[in-house]
Amino acid sequence: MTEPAPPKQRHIALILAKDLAANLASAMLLVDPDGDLVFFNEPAERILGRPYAEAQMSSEELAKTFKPVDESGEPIPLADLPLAAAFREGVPSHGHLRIESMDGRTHDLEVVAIPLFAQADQLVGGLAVFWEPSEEA
Amino acid sequence: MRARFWGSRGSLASPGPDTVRTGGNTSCVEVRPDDGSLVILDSGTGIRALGASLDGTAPKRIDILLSHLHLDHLEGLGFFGPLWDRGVELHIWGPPSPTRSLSDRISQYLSPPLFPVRLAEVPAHLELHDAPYEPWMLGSATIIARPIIHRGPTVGYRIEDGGRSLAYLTDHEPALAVDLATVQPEWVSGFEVATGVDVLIHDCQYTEDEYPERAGFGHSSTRHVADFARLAGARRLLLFHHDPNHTDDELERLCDRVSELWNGEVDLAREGEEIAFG
Repeated sequence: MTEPAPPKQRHIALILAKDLAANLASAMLLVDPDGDLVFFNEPAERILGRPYAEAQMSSEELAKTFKPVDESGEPIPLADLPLAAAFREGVPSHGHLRIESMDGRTHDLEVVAIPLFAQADQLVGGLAVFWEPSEEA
Repeated sequence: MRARFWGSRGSLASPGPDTVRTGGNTSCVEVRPDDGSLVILDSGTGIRALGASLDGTAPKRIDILLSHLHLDHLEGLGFFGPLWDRGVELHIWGPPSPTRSLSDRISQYLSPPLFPVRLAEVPAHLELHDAPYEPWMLGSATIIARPIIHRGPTVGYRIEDGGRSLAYLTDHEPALAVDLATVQPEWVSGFEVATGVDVLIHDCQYTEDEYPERAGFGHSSTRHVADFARLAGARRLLLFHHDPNHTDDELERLCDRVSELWNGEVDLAREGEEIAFG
């Protein structure tokens, strides 16, 4: 069985979202309609521990790599992560989680995930903005 | 497949002695697939003369593909003769909107007080369609529509017929989001529509000096269109959507500049000219 051909072109909503991400000071990652990682920006690199060029992966690999857990340390299944919930429900989703970055550090994160629907309700991908809450908050 | 420009001007019709060689009418291209069916790209002011040329020979079915609904692409529709012919079946295709039907959006212009007659009252049998994401057939031609970067819902069209292909990206700013000189093609708006095409009709509204003041307006500069044609691997490039303030002489210089930047066959889209595919 052959691998499916990569898309000739990403949807313009993803192209524009990538441009937005590249110009934001907030950490942001983008996934394609299959949930596979297609980009994260430099602020995200500082949290995730590696440049995007060295970290391309599928949604399953994403969950395995960052080992997300909840506040009590219980692993969060892939389907319960904010982006998966946003895709499933078709609306933005919010969550708290702890990850292990690719350079071995742990980070407590707030995550807002948004499904990207283009014209005619076509799901073309998703984005997640995430940040480390301050101690005082 | 044959094709002819009936209007290649952008933004606003601009007739007069300074535009007589390229023409002053706004966007309209007649496409004739090999089976003789009639497909029209946009209904700018150029569509009036196209309609008049059909006198007595209009096919029963006509398909108009709207790139988007800015006035320079729509304002000729009410003056297209076959719209007033009960025997004509007129199919209008346009970019989908997340909130309003194509009929609602076109009716905003084709209704009082902007136009004396409502769209629902015209004699021709009208059918309006959102341009689908999947390819579809019009006569012997295959049509592909993809959203492209402009202000508001906008699509680029690719038409394939008899081994020939044409891409129409009339209002397009692919450089808004990326550096076209370095980006991977999968991240370039319009690439899928234009890749490997025989004839690329593309927005070239601005010089490189003009563009910085107009970034985000939804149009391309000479450098952008040259970079895009190179990325797409187009065989022939026709510069389109001429700025209403550009004279024929200025447009010739603009065309020369694109020729310097892209080592391919490039020319201005000129009103009245047939498009050569071979």
